Amino acid sequence: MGSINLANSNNRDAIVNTETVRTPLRVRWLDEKGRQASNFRILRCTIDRDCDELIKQAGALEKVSELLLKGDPEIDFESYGRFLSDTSRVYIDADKKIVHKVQEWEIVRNPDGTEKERRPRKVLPPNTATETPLKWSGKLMKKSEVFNKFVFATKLQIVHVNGLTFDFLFAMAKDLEEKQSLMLMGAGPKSNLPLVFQRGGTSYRGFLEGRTQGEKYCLILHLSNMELKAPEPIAAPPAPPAPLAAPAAPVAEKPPEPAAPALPVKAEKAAEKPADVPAKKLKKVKAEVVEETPAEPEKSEEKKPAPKKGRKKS
Amino acid sequence: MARALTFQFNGTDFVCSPDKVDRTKLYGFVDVEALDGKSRKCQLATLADDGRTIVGQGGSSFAYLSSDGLWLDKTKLQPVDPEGRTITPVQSTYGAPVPLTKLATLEDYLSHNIKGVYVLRCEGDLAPLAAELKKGTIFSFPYSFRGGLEADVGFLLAGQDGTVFMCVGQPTSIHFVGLEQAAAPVEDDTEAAEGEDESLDFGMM
Repeated sequence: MGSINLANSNNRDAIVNTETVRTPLRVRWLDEKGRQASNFRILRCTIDRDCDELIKQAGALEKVSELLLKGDPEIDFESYGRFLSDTSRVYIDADKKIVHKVQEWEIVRNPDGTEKERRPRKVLPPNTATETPLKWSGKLMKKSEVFNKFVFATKLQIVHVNGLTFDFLFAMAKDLEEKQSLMLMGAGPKSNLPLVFQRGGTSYRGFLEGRTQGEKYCLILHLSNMELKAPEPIAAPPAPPAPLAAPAAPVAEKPPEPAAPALPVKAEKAAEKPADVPAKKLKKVKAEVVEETPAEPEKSEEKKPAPKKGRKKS
Repeated sequence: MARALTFQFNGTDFVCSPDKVDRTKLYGFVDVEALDGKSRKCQLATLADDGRTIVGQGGSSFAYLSSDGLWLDKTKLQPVDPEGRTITPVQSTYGAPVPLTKLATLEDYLSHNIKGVYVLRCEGDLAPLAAELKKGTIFSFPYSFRGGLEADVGFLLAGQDGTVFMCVGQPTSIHFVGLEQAAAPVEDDTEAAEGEDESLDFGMM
């Protein structure tokens, strides 16, 4: 159970609880005698006896089989099969030694895998249970219009912690139910940042839904990091130059030219969209759904090159 | 070529191939590269609790043991639910045509976590089905790719531009909460509190 700092339409805020609502299949496995089997993570291979190491020992991949026939160099009888628990993730270098000081870089790639940007890794801090509450944005989207616009990958149920917060949340749920809408939730002072629930965790757009049943309520925070849309077809790599057929040359030259610049622009637009670059996305949603004013493509086009200049490119 | 999924709607079979859609295909992706002091690439590994055994990718696996600590072959184990009832495995949805008869409401759909999205490409004419979906209709059906212990819930719906999507979701435990059901401390918190009790320092009082 986590917590979240929420404000209502009167700008009154309260810290309330969140519950995960996933229902993983709870399976027990029984052996032939009907006794419960237990699941353990065990050690199968260590890096000092893996394939690379055996190749080193044997001198060549072809000679590894001889090595395996002669003995058991790939097995450490003392440690293999032992239970693994309380493990840690570490970085190792090419010599398979633990590296204690690493520089982490993020390589942003386009949908076709081409490198777009290289930057030092950013670890986002959580922003949903901070001193700044998640504000009542008032940006409502009809359920019937939004269900097929975003992919609601996960959700949290928001629950009260005492009588006061029961009234607080019940009123929110009632309000949203009457409007048959989901409300866009954002973090930060301007409510335009994606929601991050744990340090370095996935960032999401939040959509608050309310339902009531008599004196009971159900306040659901739907989380999405993807729009429901088909991907743009990735352009085929430019055709190789035509051999010697002179008349074919103009035909072959034409298509690659518009196709080549078209992809990066589209991909860039797409890659900047959901949780990664929050403000732009928020503006788009605001324009399209809430205020029903046309988006300003020129403005956003103008803005894009600016941050690009400052970015490192490999 | 993706496996074909056959939907039956109004007496017509629609043979479709689902194409998975994910963030990578829509927006691109981010690789994380770690460099050591000499700018050489590093790779992630697992350090065992002894602090010296390093396990590479694929160096661990899961095993089932009996209460006596003996190795058990998973194929000989029987899956049961928490109450001890046998779980009957489900068949793959791709093995037989899927009749589209069950409608889902918006609330039903919104009560699921959507864990997979597919665009449906149909060799034939998908127009009659697409026309129905464009009205806002959502069909639901049990979905399992290769069969298994439990089927997920498949939803067939039209996107904003009319593209037909299959969304695969899992039901959630969202529920109505009354005043008396105020959040109680969860079990984990109790355990933590017990742990704290042990470390209480009476010398400070």
